[in-house]
Amino acid sequence: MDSEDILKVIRRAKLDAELDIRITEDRSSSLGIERGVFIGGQSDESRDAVIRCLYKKRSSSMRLSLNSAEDLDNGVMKAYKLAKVIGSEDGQSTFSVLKHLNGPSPLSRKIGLIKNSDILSRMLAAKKAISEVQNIYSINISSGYSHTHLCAANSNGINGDWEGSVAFARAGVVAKDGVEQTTGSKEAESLDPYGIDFDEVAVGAASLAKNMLGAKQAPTFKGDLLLSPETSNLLMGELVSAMDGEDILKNRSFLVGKKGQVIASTLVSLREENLLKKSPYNRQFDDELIPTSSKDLVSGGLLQTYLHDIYSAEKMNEKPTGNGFFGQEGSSVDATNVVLKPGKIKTEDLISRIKKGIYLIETGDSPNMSTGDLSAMVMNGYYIESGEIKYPVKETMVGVNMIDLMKNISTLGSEYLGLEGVFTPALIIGGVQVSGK
Amino acid sequence: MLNEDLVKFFASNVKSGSYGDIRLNEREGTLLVIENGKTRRVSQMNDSGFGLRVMKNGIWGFASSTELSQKAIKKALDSAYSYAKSKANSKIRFEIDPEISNAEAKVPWKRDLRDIELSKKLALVKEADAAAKGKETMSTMSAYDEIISHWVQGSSLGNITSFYESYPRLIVSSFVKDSIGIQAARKTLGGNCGFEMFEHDSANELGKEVLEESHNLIGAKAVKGGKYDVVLDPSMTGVYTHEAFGHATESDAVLAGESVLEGRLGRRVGNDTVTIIDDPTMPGERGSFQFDQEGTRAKRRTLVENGVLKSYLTTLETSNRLGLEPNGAGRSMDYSCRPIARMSNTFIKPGDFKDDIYEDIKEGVAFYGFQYGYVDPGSGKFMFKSQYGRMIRKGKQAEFIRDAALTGSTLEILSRIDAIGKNFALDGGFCGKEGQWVPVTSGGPNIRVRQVVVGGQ
Repeated sequence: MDSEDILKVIRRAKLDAELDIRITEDRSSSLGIERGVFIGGQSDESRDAVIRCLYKKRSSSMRLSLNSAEDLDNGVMKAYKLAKVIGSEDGQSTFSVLKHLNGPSPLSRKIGLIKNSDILSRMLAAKKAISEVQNIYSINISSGYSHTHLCAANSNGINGDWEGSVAFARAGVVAKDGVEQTTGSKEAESLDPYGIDFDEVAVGAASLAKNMLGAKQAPTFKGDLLLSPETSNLLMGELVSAMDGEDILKNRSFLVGKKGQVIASTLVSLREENLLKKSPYNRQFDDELIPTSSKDLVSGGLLQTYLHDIYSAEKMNEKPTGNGFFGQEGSSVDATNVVLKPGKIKTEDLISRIKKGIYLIETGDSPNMSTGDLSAMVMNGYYIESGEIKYPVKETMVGVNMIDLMKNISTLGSEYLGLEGVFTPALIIGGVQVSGK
Repeated sequence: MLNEDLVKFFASNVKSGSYGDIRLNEREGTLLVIENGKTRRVSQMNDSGFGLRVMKNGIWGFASSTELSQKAIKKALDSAYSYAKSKANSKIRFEIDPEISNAEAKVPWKRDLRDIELSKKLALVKEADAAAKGKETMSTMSAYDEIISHWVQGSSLGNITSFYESYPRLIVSSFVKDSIGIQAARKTLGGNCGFEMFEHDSANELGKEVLEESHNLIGAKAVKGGKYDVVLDPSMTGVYTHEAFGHATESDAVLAGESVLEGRLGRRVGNDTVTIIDDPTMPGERGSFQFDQEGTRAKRRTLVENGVLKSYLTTLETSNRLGLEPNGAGRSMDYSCRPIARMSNTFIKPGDFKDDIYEDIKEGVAFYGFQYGYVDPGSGKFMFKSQYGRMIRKGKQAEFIRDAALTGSTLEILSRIDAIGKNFALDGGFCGKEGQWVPVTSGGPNIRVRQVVVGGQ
């Protein structure tokens, strides 16, 4: 099925309502190694549709899995009835009328050409590379890839087709010394599994796990925070979420009223790049069939834009920015690729610049989106004093407001990571509260 | 409608010398979102498919599809066998030998959600939203969501089980603005049950509770970070039990060498006042079920008894590898996910502490309501955040605080509990693991924990 077929379904329905339909076909495969031993694999195939309907300015949406040719027609009628009977009175007034380019596929290798046996060999070789490392207790590695074909059309005659792929590898390693147990994990992404350095992923996880042995609680103090590329990746992703036009409109974001204002250090250049070389997240139109674009998000320390889908753009009297992507609960805002421009300083030189601080390598926390306050546990990290790593830390938290975090970025590093479409370097922030002993 | 013939077709195509099982799953969902009294979102979901797996020589192959047909099952079987017959022979050996049951479980509801008109559900969420709005309220956002999930599952050993899950939920949020910024209060009400959950003015009461909580937060500041004696309310006791301890009892983490509780069965992990239960048989709770997704009948599990680790949460595979009984913890989010060891309704048993639990705390923090939390079971490090807190000064609760969070280590934390109250409550939500989100509850009484790291600004 392609977007031309969807246009036929829309015409066939002959409804006194607007329709917007998106079909996603996914094929994915993954493999797992547990404690160094292959334990199995998984293949999944799915075909789902999201149908949105606007009936006299009342909106509804219907999500369904497609089993047969009739399912889509039936889904259209369900969405129509839903809009008519109980539709939202606070929806958008129309669907996209903007023409866009149908992008070339970013696939570097067709899914059929990928051999699971090749991937497994690489995973087992990566395991072997670290299995002799002292103190390593268990090695778990997973890897997989997915191929997505997306087609969409609406009753304004706008349609689009896209296909893409993404592959990942993830290693989780446990190190042990007596009763003390520590973990390290590392992840990488690429267009296909052949673009991933499995050894680097495994070695990175093993080094981290081993280096965390002997962790102590850091003191309580105010000092510098060195974010690893992984943690700056996580936090820049959260910053972009806070640019969501609907959350701005409804006063639910800490970036309300900040457009055109200073929200970051002048060192910060944060951009959305919709077509980035070798990124799996390139798109030329969003899930609402609005063209995507490359644009400054933060430059010279100033917040340059909010991110809109059609709904928030209409309500704020601005133009849609091509950032409408569907989440599980309807349309929401996201970006294609987000790039924080790196600096030129290596991580060891960043460490040498810190008098007293924490090197935060991994956390699972995110800020309160209303206030921007962040309390983050140091899952993996080090205490730094006089430009040197002193010891790994445990039972330690760092606290900072996201605006202060952005404004106090003093140095950008050269070590760089791209995950889930966010590309970020290591960086130093001043004036962060550390809570420990 | 799901067809048992597809299960029989699958079973007849499993090759001799291997084990196989299949889950057919059909889900219907509704989401209604109200913002400031106006309907913002109306959406529904109809989802169906199957997931199957085969095991040969210790290697699993899993495959899923949204197409419920014999042709798709045959294709998926071929795909699953391509893994299970891999040349990379696993050194892991185990038997799958489940208790055979052919059972259709009782429906978990008194009032079927599908019999309730959408307009009534909309009225319910509007009532809650209106109750959450007060003089100082900047905005409100409330939602009603429901998922009704039907499972038919069976294995190559000939068993077939069929059951429904029904998860209605009401979520109410109220936002206030003060000189510090925007403060949000949020509460939920839900279960594995029917629409009877919302009788007796529950929507209005929930909205009022959220309103009161949001107003209490006006002017509340962040706590100064450091070590404190803390008191947790039942909601926070629950998440403490779930995150700090429960995840490390999941047997797949134990076998993967990723749990600090590996090798500690029968050993002391906390002081002797602490007993931790995981019980999926509690009627109507969000984490309740009658069968897990491997067809094992649900059982009450005592994880810790008087401070001693008594059990892990096991699946068919992990129980055999660990030499334990399967205890019905193999849960899947939906058909596309393989069953993995999960919690259900997890709680600390109430104790007999009669005195004022705050009395001998000079300076501490009382935590209320769960916001989120996570743990690394391999190292035992955990962190969780409350909806709000109150400082404790000279044995009394004092000013409200916002964004209070705490952290610690699994193996140290249970021994720091020195008072367990007599009250008891459960709080529902979702638990995420390996990309699978399943409904759970957690809870317990008020507990006092000594010298915990509290995060702040």
